[in-house]
Amino acid sequence: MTARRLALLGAAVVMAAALAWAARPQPVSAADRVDRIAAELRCPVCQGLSVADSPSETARSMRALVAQRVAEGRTDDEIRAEFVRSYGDWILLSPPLLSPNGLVWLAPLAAIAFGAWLAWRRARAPALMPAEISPAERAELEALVAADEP
Amino acid sequence: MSWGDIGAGALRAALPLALWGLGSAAYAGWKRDARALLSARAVAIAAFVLVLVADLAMVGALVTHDFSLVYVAENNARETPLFYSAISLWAALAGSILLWTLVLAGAAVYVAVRGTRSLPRLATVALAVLFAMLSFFLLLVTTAAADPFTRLAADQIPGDGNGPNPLLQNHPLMALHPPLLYLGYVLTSIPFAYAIAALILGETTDRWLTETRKAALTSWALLGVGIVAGAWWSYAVLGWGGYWAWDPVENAAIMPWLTATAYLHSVMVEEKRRLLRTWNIALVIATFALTILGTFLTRSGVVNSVHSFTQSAIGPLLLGYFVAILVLGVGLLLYRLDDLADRGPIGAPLSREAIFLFQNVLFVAATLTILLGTLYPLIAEALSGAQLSIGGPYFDRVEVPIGLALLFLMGIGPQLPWHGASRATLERQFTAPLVAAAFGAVVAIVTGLTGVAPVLTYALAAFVTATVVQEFGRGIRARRTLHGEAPMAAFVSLFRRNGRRYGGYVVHLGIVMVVVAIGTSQARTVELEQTLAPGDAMDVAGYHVVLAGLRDVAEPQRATTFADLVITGNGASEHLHPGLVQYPNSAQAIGSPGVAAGSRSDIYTILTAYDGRGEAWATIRVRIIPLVSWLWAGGAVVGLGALLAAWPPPKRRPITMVVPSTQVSTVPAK
Amino acid sequence: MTRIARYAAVVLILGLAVTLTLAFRRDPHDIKTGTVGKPAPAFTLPSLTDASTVSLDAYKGKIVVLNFWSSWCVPCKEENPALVDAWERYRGTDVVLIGIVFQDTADAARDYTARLGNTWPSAVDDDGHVALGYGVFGPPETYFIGADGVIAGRHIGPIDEQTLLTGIETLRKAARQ
Repeated sequence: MTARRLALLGAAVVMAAALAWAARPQPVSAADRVDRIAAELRCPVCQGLSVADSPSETARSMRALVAQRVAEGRTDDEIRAEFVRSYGDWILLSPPLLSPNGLVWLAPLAAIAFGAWLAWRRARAPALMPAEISPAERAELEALVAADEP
Repeated sequence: MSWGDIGAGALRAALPLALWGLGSAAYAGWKRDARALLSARAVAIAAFVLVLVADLAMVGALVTHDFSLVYVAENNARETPLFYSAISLWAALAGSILLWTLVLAGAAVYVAVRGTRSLPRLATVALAVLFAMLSFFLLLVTTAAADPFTRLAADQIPGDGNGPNPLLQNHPLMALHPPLLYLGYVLTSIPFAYAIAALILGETTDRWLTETRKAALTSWALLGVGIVAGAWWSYAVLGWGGYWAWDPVENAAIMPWLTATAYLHSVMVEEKRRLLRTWNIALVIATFALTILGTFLTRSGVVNSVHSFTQSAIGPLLLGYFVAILVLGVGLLLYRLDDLADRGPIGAPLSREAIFLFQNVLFVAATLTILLGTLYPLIAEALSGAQLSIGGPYFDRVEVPIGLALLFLMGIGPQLPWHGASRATLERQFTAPLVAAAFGAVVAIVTGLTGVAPVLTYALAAFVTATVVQEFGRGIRARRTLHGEAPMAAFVSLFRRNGRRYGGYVVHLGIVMVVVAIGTSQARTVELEQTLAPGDAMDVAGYHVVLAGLRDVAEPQRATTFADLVITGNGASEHLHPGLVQYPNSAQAIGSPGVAAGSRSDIYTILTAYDGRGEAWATIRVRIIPLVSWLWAGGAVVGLGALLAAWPPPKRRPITMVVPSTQVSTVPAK
Repeated sequence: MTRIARYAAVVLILGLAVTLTLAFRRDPHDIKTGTVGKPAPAFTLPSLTDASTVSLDAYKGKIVVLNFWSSWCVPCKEENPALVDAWERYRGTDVVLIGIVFQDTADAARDYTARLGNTWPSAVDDDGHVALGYGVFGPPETYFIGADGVIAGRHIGPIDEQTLLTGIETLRKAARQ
């Protein structure tokens, strides 16, 4: 094995290990849960900011309520449902995957899949150039040839 | 003669001129009439001068507080300082459309004077397209839709105006951000106009690509820097501690930038191998159409946004304009589709042109996703009445993987040869970068990042950086071998000789900085909010924050309460003064953050609430945001790279050489 | 392929134009309420004026007009006369007006109440959780709760006498049936 191949192999192994290590499940503290839920709720009095980001008093009040519910042992879904009950679906910053509006999650996947399929179809090993050219190109070619001084 | 008279008169004189210009340019293009072209050129210059006069008249009215104009009464007050009075030109709808019109008139002059000298026929038709656009905007500013010089009846002229929106006079950056963006937006009309002209004339060569390269690069760079400036404004002025909220107007700016980025890369495939021509025309049309769609979304009142202007008649007009642009562009593209179709396949999957095709797909997917996310709530409510939100969580989750994939392509694309790569080439090109990637991943883990996305971000950032360093190294070595230049001279020569390529590499480095900044700041920001009495302290991430006291400051146009903070720990010693600013005509106080920027992290403080009476208290929010300064630095590097990429190569100079025959001939040197 | 592309383009552009045009019908600032039609969330809050508590349960079977207000809110001052009138009219009947202080200090609220001479029961929602339960965006907001304990309607912004009386009378008629 050449040094290069060895280096490549080593790099691949280290990368895989690093990614595996990064992907391991992290313990989630109560504060983390509050932050995560707050990041998915929309601040009612702001321009699209999340409850986690907004410094407004309504947002702080909402964060406190989320913290209280987390301490009471409610699940993430229950806490979100409580706010949806008060403010409507609008309060969630992204539609849940399993709701009718969950289609928005599929759209990017579909777009990329479609585009990738299109692109892959076009990416083939270079073949010989086709013999026919369009009439416009033929005319251009002849003009160029005619314009060349011998 | 009042400012309003001058301005309104200038605009109303410019409109028939623009229409005349449209007619004469169209005639000149159709009949190849030189006199009509001269007439169109003169008209372009005249129209620009008139619109410039109108813009200056508005600035004059603002600076002299002429409240007989509705626009001045609503966006200016006697206490407004001179600087902010002048930049209130773009504070609200009518004024910003006026600025837009000025840039558009400037673009028309550029094409009329410079463009028609290099590619006469194409530029003339492009000029006609630009005149048509200019006529539309002049129509907007001379009718009730967006006339900035609307007068108030004599008995309704107030003694003092409302003053500009508080958010717009909080920071001098307001002088820079909108003009940069408008220049970026409007300059995309030049490549678009040429593309339309090429389609109309059935142009088979790609000369219009080279002709519009400068305009495309300039508009891309200005848009990019304008977006970063906007993010910086959001961070330093809006005071919520972040720089990007996926607000509709932010999305409106980034969508054309994404398609413009795809275009800048994709044209290289057309130049080199005459492929992807349909893609390129489609990308130019999409970029321009998105700038209009963005303008429509933010000015029509149909979406709720930080930048929302109140609903006015301009909404339906802009929508009509957008649909007309789409119909024209897509219609012409479909008409010429067969002529534009690629002859021959792209090449092996691991070839440079294939990578450019993949990046086209990814950039378009990213753009369409942002478009869908921005429009979906609108569409859902229009169709079913249901109200829902699509915000940060959606966009982040979808765009991050696309962004990482693009980062990967950014690393491998420039390293792959055209037509395809052999195994040996792959090994030679990518061994060092892959080792760097592994190193990057380890650095991520060691600095405490968790989660696949941040680790991948660091790995890919290291990967791209290594490829760029490799390229520069090879280039310098080549020049030293061939020309014997010293390393530093060789480095400079690389930019001089091939600014496009090496400037592009600098841009890539800037993007890497931005991506690392975003990834790190999103993953490792630490935050704490606490209510303190004067003298109390709070501890965040090793910093000790003491509330020294509350302090009121009164100015003619606003009243501010500051919290004086003393921050120590981690080797820092800072005095920060977050505040809440109250403007007389606004019910809500505006937050003004206290920020200590640093190369490793920023200390960001917000005063969220306070009570200064009796037993005073203040609720302070402290955010420690790592690497966010790299975002601004990265944006500057991107701008620098674009400048280097646009640098013209040195002219070829002829050399004289003695040929072993009786003749001496001159041969151009390489 | 070209024919499909043509049709697709026409459909997409038309679709985009139509939906964007439809978008003009809506006002992005008009957020529909979530709690109308649902049972009113119960609450027990400290009274503003004395040491007692104000509880929704205490008014079971009655028609409750719940008004969220603050001392710093300018439209609240504007709507106050309408509230005073309504209180005068319906005091002692099966209708009760309750005020809830929203994001304000008790001192400022007491000042305001005393200055304007408001006499209906007011409670302090210190942590704001009651307001969140009702889906309040900002003061002033008025909720009409029927005798069955269900939120029948909500008014955002300063309320006028006409709307108040209409709302109350509708609920009284419904209660009698």
